[in-house]
Amino acid sequence: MRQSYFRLLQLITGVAVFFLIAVHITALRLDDFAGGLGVHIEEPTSWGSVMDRATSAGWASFYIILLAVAIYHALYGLRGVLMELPWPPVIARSLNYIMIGIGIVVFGYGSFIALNAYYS
Amino acid sequence: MNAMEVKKKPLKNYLGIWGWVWAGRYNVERYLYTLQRVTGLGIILYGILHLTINGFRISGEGLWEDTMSLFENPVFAVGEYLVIAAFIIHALNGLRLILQQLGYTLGAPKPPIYPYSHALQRRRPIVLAMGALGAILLLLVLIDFVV
Repeated sequence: MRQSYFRLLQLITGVAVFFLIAVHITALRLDDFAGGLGVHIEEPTSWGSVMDRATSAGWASFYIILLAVAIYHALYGLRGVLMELPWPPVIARSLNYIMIGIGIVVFGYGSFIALNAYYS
Repeated sequence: MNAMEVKKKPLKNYLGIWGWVWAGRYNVERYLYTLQRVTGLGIILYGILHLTINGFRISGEGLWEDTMSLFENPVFAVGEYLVIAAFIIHALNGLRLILQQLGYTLGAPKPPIYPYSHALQRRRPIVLAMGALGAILLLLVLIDFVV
């Protein structure tokens, strides 16, 4: 039963990632779309623009939430792919823990980048 | 030598990774499954690079601006388009799979009257609709990139 909750969470995070990444891509890369929606970010990859967003509580929270949701969705999906490979038994048994470990490390690093910039 | 004497090589019952790509008469939904994996793995790879490059912010403005100037090369614009294309394909196919898994695309039960239609045929319209929507979005993004 626990597995089905994890699977359901995979579907929920999939929908969440879709909306969050759509906002991220539209605001930062698709100027015409974003302009049509009334969002104008001048030179989104310039240092000034990046730091403006990084020091805004709204954008910093947005990125940390996106990071958490995307990490769960990506690692659960990757685990499904990896489980089909013929691993030695010790790795097959440890795969869940390896994924959880990778998730914690990546989330720690990613949120450190966001918080470091936010408090700079 | 008659036909009975011709020994056919038996098919392997374990296809390994190759079986993800081809194992006989796959239909379009099975290829979409492979595409879902390829795009998912590609997006993970891009995500790792994206996070690594974002980490350059910690070193300050100089390294950040130097790195961003590298991405002004058109080759990176093509790469960026491919990443967005992978995201669109993965998202729309994922949405189809979610609708399917939750039972919204099953349709009403039908009596088995000849000519029979199988479940995949009855769900084919949503594949085509997602494909059409995906093609429109890919074209709009391409226009945004080029114009």
